[in-house]
Amino acid sequence: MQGRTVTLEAEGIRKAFGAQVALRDVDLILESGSIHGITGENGAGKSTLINILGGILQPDSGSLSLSGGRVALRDAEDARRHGIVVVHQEPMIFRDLTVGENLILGNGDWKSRYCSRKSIERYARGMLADLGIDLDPGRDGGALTAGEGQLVELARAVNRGARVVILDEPTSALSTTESTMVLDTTRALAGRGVAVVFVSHRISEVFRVADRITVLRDGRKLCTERAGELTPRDVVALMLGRPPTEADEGSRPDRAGGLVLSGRGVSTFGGVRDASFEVCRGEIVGFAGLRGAGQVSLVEALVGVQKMSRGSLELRGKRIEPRSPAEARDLGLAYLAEDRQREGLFPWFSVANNICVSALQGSRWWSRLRGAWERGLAKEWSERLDIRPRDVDRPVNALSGGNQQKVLLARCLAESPMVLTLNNPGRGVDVGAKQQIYEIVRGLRARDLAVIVVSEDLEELAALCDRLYLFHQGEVTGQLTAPVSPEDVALAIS
Amino acid sequence: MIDIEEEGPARQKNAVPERKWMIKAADPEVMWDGLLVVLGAIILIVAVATTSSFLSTINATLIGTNFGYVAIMCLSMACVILCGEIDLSVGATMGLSAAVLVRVIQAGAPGWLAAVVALSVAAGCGAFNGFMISYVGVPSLVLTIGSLALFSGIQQGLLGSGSFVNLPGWLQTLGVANIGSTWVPIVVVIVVVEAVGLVAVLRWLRVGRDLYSIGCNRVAAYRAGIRVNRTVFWVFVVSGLNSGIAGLLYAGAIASVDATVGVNIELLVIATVLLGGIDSFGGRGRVGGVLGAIVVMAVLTDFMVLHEMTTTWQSLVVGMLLICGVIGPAALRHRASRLT
Amino acid sequence: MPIGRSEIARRVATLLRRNVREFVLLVVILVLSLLTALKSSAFLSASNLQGIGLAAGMTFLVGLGEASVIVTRNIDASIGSMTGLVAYISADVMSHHPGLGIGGIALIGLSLGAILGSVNGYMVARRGFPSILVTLGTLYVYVGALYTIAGAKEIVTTSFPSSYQSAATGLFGQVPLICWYSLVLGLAVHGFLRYTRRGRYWLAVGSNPNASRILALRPASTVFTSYVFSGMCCGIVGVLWGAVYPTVDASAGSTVLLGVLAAVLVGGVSIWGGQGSVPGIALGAILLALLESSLIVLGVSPFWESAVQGGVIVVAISLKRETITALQRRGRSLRGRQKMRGTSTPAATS
Repeated sequence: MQGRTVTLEAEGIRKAFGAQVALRDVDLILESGSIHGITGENGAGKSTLINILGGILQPDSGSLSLSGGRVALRDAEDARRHGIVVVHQEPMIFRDLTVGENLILGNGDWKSRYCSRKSIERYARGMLADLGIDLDPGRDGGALTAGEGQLVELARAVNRGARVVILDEPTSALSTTESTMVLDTTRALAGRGVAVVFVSHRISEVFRVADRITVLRDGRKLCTERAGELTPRDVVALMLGRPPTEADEGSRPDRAGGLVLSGRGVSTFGGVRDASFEVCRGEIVGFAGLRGAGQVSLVEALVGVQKMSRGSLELRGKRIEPRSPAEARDLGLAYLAEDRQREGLFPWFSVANNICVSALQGSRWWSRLRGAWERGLAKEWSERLDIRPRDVDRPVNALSGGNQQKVLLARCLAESPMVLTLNNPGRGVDVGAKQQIYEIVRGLRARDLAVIVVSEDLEELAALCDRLYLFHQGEVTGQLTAPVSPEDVALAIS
Repeated sequence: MIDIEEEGPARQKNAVPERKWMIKAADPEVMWDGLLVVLGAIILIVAVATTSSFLSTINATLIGTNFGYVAIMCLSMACVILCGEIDLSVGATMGLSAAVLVRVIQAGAPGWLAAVVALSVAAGCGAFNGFMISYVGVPSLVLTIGSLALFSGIQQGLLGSGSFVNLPGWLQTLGVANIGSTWVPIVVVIVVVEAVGLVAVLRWLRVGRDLYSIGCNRVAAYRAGIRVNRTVFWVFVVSGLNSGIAGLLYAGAIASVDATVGVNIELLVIATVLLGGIDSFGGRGRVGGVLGAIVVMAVLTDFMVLHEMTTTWQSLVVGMLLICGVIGPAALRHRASRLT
Repeated sequence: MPIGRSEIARRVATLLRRNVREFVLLVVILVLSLLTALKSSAFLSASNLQGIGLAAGMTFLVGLGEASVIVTRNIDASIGSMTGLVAYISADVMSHHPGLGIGGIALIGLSLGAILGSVNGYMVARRGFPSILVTLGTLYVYVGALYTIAGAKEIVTTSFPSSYQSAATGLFGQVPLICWYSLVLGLAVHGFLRYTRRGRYWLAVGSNPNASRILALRPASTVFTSYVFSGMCCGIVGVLWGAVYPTVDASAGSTVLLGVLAAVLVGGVSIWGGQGSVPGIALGAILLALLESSLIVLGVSPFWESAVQGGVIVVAISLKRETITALQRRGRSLRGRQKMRGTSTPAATS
């Protein structure tokens, strides 16, 4: 082992966004040739830390030092010049160029202006071989899989002479084989003396590559230990901030109502394989798994966003095949999507409009709109779900994240669905509103709704669900019944 | 007291909102309407000052007949832009339908049949656009450039270099005559009827709101159960049909059809719609604004014609107004959001 | 993977796939020429072929500029008016100062083209306005300027010094000079795209504008340059316009946009940016010029020419690789018309 030199050191980093403190007093030491794993839940401050290290954000206080000398990174370009490269989750691949061309883009030690296809290929081949990556440089960028794209990004970082490479959730969208490729390449990277930061949710993978592990929670660094001195269970406990708990939740019915929705052998293209599940009236079922494990795909097949390749779905005993969200809604399947801004909200429309958007009063295109009726309905829901401010004519983009989520929830519930599916309902929602939403969802049991919750937030799943289906690599691998603790879930899915 | 925690992105309007009208006035939409009114007033004043008898009923009739067919296309173009698309082929469709009309008449068919065929062809053009955009997935901008070329090419092919004057009398009446003995052209009535219909649809029917939703956030609209593809398809069909109606009216008014019918009209139509406050990206805007812009543009074009500005000069002016229509509301909105 | 037969087969397949469009175009050109030649032997006469070469050359030169804009995922709708404006102004200058010679005029034309193009470039690249709307606007502004300057006047260029006249139509080894210019410029651009790093940047900017911004490839200055280049290409053709046409008036350049777009799109430049090759553009230009000539010979009225061009554009747009793969994907996933994000293939289960 070569002597480890300290490459990058962060001290006392603090960053706040308005009233929200994202990072408090975080220290970090990165040594060349070593892999430093950082893990924590959503909102723990991982992204902020990455952005600060990568020069995209500036810390409010604290300092960064490179090889002993203090640096102030003005922007990403500045950071790059200092040899710090951030590899984001979505590989930035140019689909119309070859792998080799993708590699050499953006400086690096390709000095001359001249580059023919042949010379690029030769150079790229050497570069890839150095890192042990088995890719043909002549291949089209568009033909790469997600995993291969990540590999190209890693090689590209090296090509740019990076001394510090920060990987932001590199494997979250990948399969096991592809993840292994990325992990191997990460090790090869470290082998070349690069200081690597591996930020990930996937605790097992962090343990596979990292020399040291840092756990973040609520913006604080809890610990940095050598990988050997921690167990995954310790890490999960630290992430969640308390010793293993019993999940309670008082009014849990001991017997749910009749079967409402079931799926047999459901498969989608490239998502989930042969999944079977059952949901009964009055119960909340969770689909747990890491990103890409297939649970979102299954749920999207349910609500008509993705097409089923095989298998069957039955709603109240009748076979259904929703081919569009419109059909799904007509059948009584409501969906609260994960990305509010992109998939849910109409930003400059009023709260009332957002709640009563379409399928509501008659699903015919010539149906009359009744403004007063809509506003009345919206006001009702606003009261029921405590949407603030109460003014239903306000544009919805003036509301906080939590209230926006409630608006979308109202939209789903206003149609009296049979099955309500929620995708990460607590994402981007402040604590108070989150609790309110959970209360509302739990209350739906009493109204005989069947609820499916898909989430990456372990606490959310533990708090809400009566039963959990576990997903891994596109298949259902097991079930857990309440009460469960977040730790159990975390371990079960990784 | 204001509940700070739940209030969302802090708006510093906590300061007592005493001047409610000031806040209202800073609303970009209202501001744009205001600017439009000012523009219209300026044009009117200049026109009256420099042209004799600008305010006469004869001139008013002229404005109506000359701009009527454009106004019709503006109404459907407003729908197209509202749902986030664009149709550059309206002029070509207009010309093509006029071409089909005269050719069918030439082949011996009665006037009414020729009109039906021409309108069907126009609707077919719209359907072609709608199909390619909604179901094949070609971006509307690119496709309608292509279909513009295709349709106007067919128009040229059908007409060659000739000009045709054998138009049915009833069509000529429609194009030029007034109602009874008033100064109001029939064309204007048609426009008003369509406008009323459009306002009704947009305000009262679900499909009207769907247009806004699609333009605002296409994905969310799809997820919310709106049949996006179908709606957009029919919007283009309507656009094509309207262009066909415009073509027939124009033919009736000018009483002759040749290969220049409809050339470059799309510029005028789009400029008018954007000037009327319809957001170029869709999802925002009111028909009222478009109607106002129609009046302003109608007066402006009349003014330019009376002062014998060549068509290219006119295009220049319209081109500049188009750019204003794009940049203006966007800039106002940007400023408004930065102030709050 | 071992370098064996499968590897070689894959390389050949890639080569073929990469150049399939060019091969197809070549075949179509040959077949069309053959058919026309059979119908009328006058088709193969030197003067006819030179005429085709002339038309193709003019289209190609403007096409290079337009393609450089389209490749960065923008569009330049003002090429027709820019060409016309430069055409008239250069002819005007020439008629008043014949002593300047072709070189002087060329300088004026190129500079003027660059200025006109930079207006577009500024609005699109630096201010971020949608390129279609900006260039539509400048289209009309420039045409308006042309009309202001030209009015109803008409410049007769047949009286110009012969050095000017033969600048485009003169022959060098039986081939019109303009074709040689095209060859030279084409080779230069081709070399730039294929053999330099900056050339790759152009394609990258169109392929993934977001990534190019993050990787600091400076997309804004690339886009700006592409518009200036487009303007200059229009400048060249504008200068040569008088040499090709007997008169120059306010209608100059009005037919350029459609023809060039058709040639460029047929030639494989993707409207979504990131793809395009110079040989493809050349073949596209040749095909369209050929089509014009063939249609006449084959008895089709010339008035249908625009229709054919339009049809060609529509077909070319629709048959893009993206459209085909998008259709395939839509068969599998009902995400409506969302653009697929980064990941492209079924990862998890294979």
